[in-house]
Amino acid sequence: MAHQNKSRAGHSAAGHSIDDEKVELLLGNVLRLGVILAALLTITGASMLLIANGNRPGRQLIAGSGEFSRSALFHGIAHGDGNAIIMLGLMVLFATPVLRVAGMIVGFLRERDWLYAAISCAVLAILIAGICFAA
Amino acid sequence: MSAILLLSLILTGSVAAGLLGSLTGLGGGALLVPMLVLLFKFDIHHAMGASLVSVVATSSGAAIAFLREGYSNIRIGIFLEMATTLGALCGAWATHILPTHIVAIIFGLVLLTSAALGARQHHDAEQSPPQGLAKRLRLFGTYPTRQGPSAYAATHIAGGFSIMYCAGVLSGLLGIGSGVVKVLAMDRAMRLPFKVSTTTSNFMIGVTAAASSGIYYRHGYLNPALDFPVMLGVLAGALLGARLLSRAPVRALRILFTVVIAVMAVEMIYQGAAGRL
Repeated sequence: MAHQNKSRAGHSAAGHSIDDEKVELLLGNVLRLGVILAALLTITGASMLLIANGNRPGRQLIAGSGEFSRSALFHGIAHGDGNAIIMLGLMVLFATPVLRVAGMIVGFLRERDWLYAAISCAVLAILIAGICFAA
Repeated sequence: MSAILLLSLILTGSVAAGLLGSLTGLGGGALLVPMLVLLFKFDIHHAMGASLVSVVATSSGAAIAFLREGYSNIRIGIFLEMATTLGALCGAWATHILPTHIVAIIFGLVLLTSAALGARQHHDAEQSPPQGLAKRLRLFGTYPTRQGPSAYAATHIAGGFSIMYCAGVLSGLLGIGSGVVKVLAMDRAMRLPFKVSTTTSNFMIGVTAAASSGIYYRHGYLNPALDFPVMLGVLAGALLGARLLSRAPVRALRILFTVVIAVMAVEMIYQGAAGRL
């Protein structure tokens, strides 16, 4: 596709080569799987939370569901705490766009588009910096 | 109110917010945060955290549908993400420092502006071959139209990039996707076709929101028990909205919802100014 377009001055390689599309569709599927996994985790965690606390006042439940230190989170996940498992689901969800950007780096490298591989790396670096603020 | 009942109400409200957000093009967060704050009386930071979760869910969940259509431009998207993610970090940092009633007032003002911008008519700009920076950065492409593939190229890159930074700040500051501002940067400033702008924006909002997530987690804005009904509800509503979009009387709905959103925005500003939030 890219070759056909090259004759049209200025509008060559329109950013939608066949390879591009394959990588993008693969990434789209990865994203969807990530969202499904996140939804399953939150539903599991929520069921556990509600089985244990379904009749407690709702506001109390939400107020008690607050902040997690990292160690409390790991401990909670290991011991089947509903809140911690929902939080794990949220983390899987937040990881999906990060994964997408990482996948784009691979895609651009395969196309030997060094400029856009570098741009994607810069975005990934900012995202990782943001994640580091959590700790 | 028992936990099950309260969470069911939040779930129902979130489906509605996701549905209306996708039909109006304003995104789920626009209605979700005022609903959680004004109706359910939740802390605005927790509402923003829940909204941020729903933004990522909608963006990632709908990505495949948009990719298949061939409208979104990943180069333009990732290039502009440098500005939005950086902005989001600054915004998320600022939201922890600002008093909550100020955040509420800013939210109301942004909502009001978004509603006004969302209601405007859009005409695609005349396209010309890429020049200067757009050519060097390859910020151009083709998109499918009824007459076959149509070429487009970005203009005013610096202006678009700056607006995108602001969109990122708003996203981090308010926990929204700020898709309206992103579309504005692309179709108005950079003169990209509307369809390319909206689909590329959908890809971008998830990445932008993910940038703020660490800071939101650290400050305890992410509340598992509140976030799960919101995430599932908004996602369901948004996917339903995408299906309905071709059949629903979109124009009439848009006017109705724009009014609803404007009322909520004014209420947010009023409550914020009165110091009640």
